[in-house]
Amino acid sequence: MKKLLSVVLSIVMIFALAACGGGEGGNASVTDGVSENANITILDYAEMSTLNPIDIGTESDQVPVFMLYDPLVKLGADQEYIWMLAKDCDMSDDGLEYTFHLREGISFSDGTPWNADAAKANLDMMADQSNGFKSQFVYECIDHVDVVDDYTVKVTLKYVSAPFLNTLAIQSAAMMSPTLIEQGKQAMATTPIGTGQYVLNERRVGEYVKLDLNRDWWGYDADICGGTPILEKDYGFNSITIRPVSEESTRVALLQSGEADLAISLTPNNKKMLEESGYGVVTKQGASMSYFYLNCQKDVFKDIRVRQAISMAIDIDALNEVVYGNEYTRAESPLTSSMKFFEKQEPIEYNPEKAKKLLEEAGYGDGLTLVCWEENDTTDIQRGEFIQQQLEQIGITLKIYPQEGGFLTDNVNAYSGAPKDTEFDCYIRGYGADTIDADEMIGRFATAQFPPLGGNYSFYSNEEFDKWIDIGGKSIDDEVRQEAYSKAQKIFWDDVPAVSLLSYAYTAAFNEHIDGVDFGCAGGLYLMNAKYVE
Amino acid sequence: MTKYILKRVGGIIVTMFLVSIFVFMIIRLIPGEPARLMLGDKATPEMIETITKQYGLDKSYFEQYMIWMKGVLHGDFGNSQRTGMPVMYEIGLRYGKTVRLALYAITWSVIAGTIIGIWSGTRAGKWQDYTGITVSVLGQAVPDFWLGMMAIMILCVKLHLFPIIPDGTFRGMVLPAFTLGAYMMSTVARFMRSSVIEALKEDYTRTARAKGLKERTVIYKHVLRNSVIPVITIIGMQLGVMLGGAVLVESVFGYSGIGLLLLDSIKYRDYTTLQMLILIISFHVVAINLLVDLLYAVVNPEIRYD
Repeated sequence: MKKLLSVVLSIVMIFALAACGGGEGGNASVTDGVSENANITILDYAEMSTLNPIDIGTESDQVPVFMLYDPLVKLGADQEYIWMLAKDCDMSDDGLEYTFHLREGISFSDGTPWNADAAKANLDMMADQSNGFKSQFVYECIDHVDVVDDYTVKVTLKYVSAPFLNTLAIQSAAMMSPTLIEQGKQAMATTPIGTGQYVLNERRVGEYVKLDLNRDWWGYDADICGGTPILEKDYGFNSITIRPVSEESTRVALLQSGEADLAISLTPNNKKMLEESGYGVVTKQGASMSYFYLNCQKDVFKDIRVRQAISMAIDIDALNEVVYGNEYTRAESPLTSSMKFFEKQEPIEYNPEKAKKLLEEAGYGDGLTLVCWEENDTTDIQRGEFIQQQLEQIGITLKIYPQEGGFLTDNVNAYSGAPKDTEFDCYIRGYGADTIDADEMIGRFATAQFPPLGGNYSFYSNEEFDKWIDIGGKSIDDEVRQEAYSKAQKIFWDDVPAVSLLSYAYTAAFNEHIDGVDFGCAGGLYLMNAKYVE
Repeated sequence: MTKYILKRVGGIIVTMFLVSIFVFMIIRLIPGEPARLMLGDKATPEMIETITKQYGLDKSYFEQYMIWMKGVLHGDFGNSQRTGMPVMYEIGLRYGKTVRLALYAITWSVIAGTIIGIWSGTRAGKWQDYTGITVSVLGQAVPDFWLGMMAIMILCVKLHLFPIIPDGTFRGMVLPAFTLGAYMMSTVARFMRSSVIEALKEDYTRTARAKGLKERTVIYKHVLRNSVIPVITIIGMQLGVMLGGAVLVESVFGYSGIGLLLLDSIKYRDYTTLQMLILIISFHVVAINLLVDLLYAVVNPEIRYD
């Protein structure tokens, strides 16, 4: 009898439990806008080191920034400006003064109102280079900031800087609450207070960061946005959990087991496997490219025929296939095609015969030995070896010295004596433009940018080129800039101070619950136009 | 006994002092200017100067070492160069997790290893012995990394039996602890087996049997007691190896312990965290060795340390 009773009771309990569970599920999606079921987990390959936008140093640091914070202006997928905390901006004719008109009626998550004082507090902090924040070097051009009225702020630059607006559209220009800035570095790193679409729920260092949707976000409010809201109410997620998982196979397994919804940074093999098993995949070119720099101050590279020969001897498509599984994009200009002012150049033909002939003409028919420096990551070494084999076919022996990244940077910058006496003849490395602007990407090949002052690792010096770079960098007129960079790209392409190899791509895979995953122009995950699919 | 312990503790202090010098120097010998490494390729000279001053990198190595040691002795371990937070905060968050993982791993592996070892040892040359040997050779030959990955693919992705990332529950700890302990289990089993075989040949075993004791009593009272000593030594030595294994296992399971922190500190050149972690790990190895030595006396009262 007892036995029977216990069986009956157990069955009753199971039903009761099941009913409770069902009840929870049933009530969940009765809210305006984003459903309460819309919770996603994102896997990154490394942990963010800080939640302080101005102190970000890695791609992982960028991921949560635009969820928690808004900048004055954002860059859309096609490099168009999306006005965020500012309504618009007037520029003075000399390009030195930027007057921002700010949106009204917005406040930070701690209740502090967003106004000109708040903007000034942020811009002043960004400009003061003695703070030592990792990302603030791009704001070195700011001279001073004035509050014009409650919702107008004027920034005066030390010199004309064409990419200035771009630099205000990247993660490091996220606007923090002035009360947070007053609390100092540690608070900025741990307790974000912004105006963003999400607020911090919890951060467990080493484990995850969980963000909750701010349903009162100003971007959903048509009045504050001046008619059309930045986003419709059903965009976004109820919560986003960002987890660092350094092991790629574990990221893939987590996606497959359903413990996560989106994983970034995947190798071509895994990407293909996931795509074939029905996962969504996004690959997008960023603002980084790899170059084979040739030190133009060396006697051997003073002869343009040698530089041309090298550019013709490297089969870049094969490099892409062999080393990167065709994941990257062959360079069509020294700028990546995702950048403004990019202009496609005539592809350099892969022609080892012609290259050999050019070398013979230049007097190097008997062969040539060059010293090359590169980074010592596995794929970087493979890339170097590939180029080494290609150049061997035209009689060039490339002696490669792979070095640890930071050490390599130091060494390249710390050459002693004249630029023509550097220990390396050539240098293979990627370069990413933080400002996503042509001025940074190609402007660094100007004579004034020889290391250690800038990134002209080719020690390229060409008066005509310098002239156009100067015009492009000092103008805020897009037409003028377009012409200047068009000329500069052409000169660079014909002159080959460096062989532009491949532009990098960023990859994410995600399950059926997410729609609208994208990457920003600089490569950071961009979920603004994403939403949940039941 | 007290005298012995004091002597050993003194030894630990000297060892730790030497380790601290070694750790400090080896990190400084890594090429590259630390401030530049922290701030990246494009940092302005002004920023580099700020960071150099802030971390005292402009001082001589001797001064830097003295400042660091003074801090360590006062309980101030400096701030992480990666996150800006105090190093002890970063380590404190993860320390307990690695200890928990290691304890689970040790517990199951020692128990399983001992049982397999006795089983094989007492049935030397029979099929039970060969099964035991196969299991222990496999445990040593299979890399942690592969074992963990296979466990994830089969038990988590296909069968959904466990969460991949430990969620704080016991169920979540099963796979990482299993993976981490596999090597230790095999080692214990192998040593236990040979130890048992040795002990079975000893005079006291024959005497015990001759007295007419039950085989079970002979094994558990006489053989086991004597064969356990070398195994304890091995366990002590293996704990250091296990801390190394924790780096891999934590990485595979995305488990945020000090192993993963060590990996991240190396990857991002977080020198202050790195040197403190190495110091702490070395301290554990030294301290565990002392503990093991003291354990001998407990297990076998014949051993005296006077």
